[in-house]
Amino acid sequence: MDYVIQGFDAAFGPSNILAMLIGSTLGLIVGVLPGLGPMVGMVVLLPFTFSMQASTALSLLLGVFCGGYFGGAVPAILLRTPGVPSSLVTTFDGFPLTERGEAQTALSAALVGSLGGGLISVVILVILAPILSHVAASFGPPEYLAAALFGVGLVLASFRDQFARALLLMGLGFFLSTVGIDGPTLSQRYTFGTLAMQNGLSLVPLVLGLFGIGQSLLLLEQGILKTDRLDLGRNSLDFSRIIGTLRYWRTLIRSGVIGTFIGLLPGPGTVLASFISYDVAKRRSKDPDSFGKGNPEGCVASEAANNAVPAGALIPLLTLGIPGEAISAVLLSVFTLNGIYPGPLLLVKEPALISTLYWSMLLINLFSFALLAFMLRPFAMIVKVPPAILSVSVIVVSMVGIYAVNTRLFDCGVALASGALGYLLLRMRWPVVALVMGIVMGPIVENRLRETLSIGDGSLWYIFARPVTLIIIALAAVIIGLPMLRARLAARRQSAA
Amino acid sequence: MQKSQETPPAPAAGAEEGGGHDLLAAAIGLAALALLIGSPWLVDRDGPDPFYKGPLIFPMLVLTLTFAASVPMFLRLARGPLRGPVRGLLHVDGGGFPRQGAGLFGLMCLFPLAIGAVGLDVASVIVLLAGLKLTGRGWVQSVIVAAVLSVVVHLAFVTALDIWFPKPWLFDTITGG
Repeated sequence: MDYVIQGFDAAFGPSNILAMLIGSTLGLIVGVLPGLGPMVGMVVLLPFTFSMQASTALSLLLGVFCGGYFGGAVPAILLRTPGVPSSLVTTFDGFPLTERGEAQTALSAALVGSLGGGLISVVILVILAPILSHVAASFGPPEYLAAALFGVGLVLASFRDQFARALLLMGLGFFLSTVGIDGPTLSQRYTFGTLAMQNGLSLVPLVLGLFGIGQSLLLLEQGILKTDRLDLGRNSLDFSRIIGTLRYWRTLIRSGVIGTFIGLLPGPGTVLASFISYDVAKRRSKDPDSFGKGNPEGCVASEAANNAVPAGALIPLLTLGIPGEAISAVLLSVFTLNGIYPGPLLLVKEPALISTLYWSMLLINLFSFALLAFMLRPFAMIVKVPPAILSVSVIVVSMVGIYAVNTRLFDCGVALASGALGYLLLRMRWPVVALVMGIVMGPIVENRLRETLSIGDGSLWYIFARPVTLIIIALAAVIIGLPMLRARLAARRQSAA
Repeated sequence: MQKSQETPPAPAAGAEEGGGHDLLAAAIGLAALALLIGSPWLVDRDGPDPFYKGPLIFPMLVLTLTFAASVPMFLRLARGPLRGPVRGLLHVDGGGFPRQGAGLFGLMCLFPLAIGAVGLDVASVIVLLAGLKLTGRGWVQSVIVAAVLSVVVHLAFVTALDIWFPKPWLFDTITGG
């Protein structure tokens, strides 16, 4: 109970509140702007967090994370252009409502959905994290290795339509994580005799390059939005419409739960959460034909699910130290830079920090809702900022931020190289997330592999005699293998027909 | 009702499928193979640890994995002429070369050098101004945005975070400082 109060105090501290407000505002901005998204916002802010306390830094970045999903619904509803990929599903019903002159109804549904999904997922996080943490406390290196490989497998399986490319990029990411001095043996690896390479290729320049620079160059090229009018009716949200939205409370709760559990799995992410949730809501509805033609319930389902994903993604990160997606990987770096290593003992060692995190997540959802509800028009007008100004600004701030992390101009070179690669990969629609996951998961997998091999004196066979490892392997086989097998069979059946 | 939104342009021919993808995959795979072959020389193996505890096992595993993933694309490339135009890789800007992006990227390559030569503040103004002009913005807008953002960058990184930036050698050379 003491930790709950401590967490409450810390979450309501002035620096934390300020961080949440700034984070949520920036998140809403990058969410509203199609082509940027919360990942770009988080990586641009990352260098600023190094001088902050862990709880403040996490609040700032989580604000961007959650705010981004709130903001993504606005252009999806008003312009049929999703601000974040998962808001694509919101366009199905949001834009038809706007066309009928009911933009406020759609926005109310989306915002209530986002808020409800966010709050439900935090409640599930609070309940589920200690249980999973308790299970994970009995893990040894083989179990961790199996869990990490399970996560890697899920990421690869989620890109099964471009499996070879995902595997290629994951391998490349793993390799990039090995460059520099090897921690356990202090041996130099792939440094080519240069001093600058001895520190390795830091995560920040690599990720900032891939997303900050790569995505900005893409934004410049695509232009994306050209709009002269935004038909909102009023400057803020019409609160009288919220009452009407509350009649979809069953959809709200169900979508929040779906989003949280999909967020828990590494790989699938927000897009799948929105799609599944929307599909379930449509099938359960008494009037399924109205979906896709302007049913507010569709907006509630989609937004509740995608906004539940951030808290869901925190569960494997906090309990196993395994990030489920690229955005959680950025959060992992904040933990480790502050000397905090997520895993089963985190909840025991840092209860106050975890409690602060829970409170912060609740507050961030409330802040994002309130900011967008009261300042709907100013946020919606952000889509009018020319992409060229955004691109140039993001790249310049990213470059200075990259230098600021280690005060090394070499890192700027790394970021530019990864920016060029990121642009190419994003433009060709390769799964860049697999590359980031490889970079982040590389040290985790390598350390666990070497520990596991050391225990077995160079053999891995003994891990099959460990029940937890076997359960994880069986789970992996079912969750990863079954959909792939089913898709293969369906394809064969189709070609036979 | 507004109607003037535009959806992102579809990727140009060749960018979606075809030889460009295979070529990129093959290039990454070849690099992985070269690193794999060179690994015994590129990794310091002086330590007493056995191979399974040593620094070489993981890189060799992942480089093998990377190369293996590129083999299907290699085979496709080797089987015959490139499927789809490779030039599709370059023709990504609605059918044309992305001049603005390439120019901006080139400019950003000069940015770290400019910071060393003329300092953060002047380099930010110059690069922002040049970048905005390059991307087709008007003079007035470019000057205002460049000035405002340079002040923001200075306040954030120099004033608030107290980050050390290199002394501008060009000014020192000119002033003899």
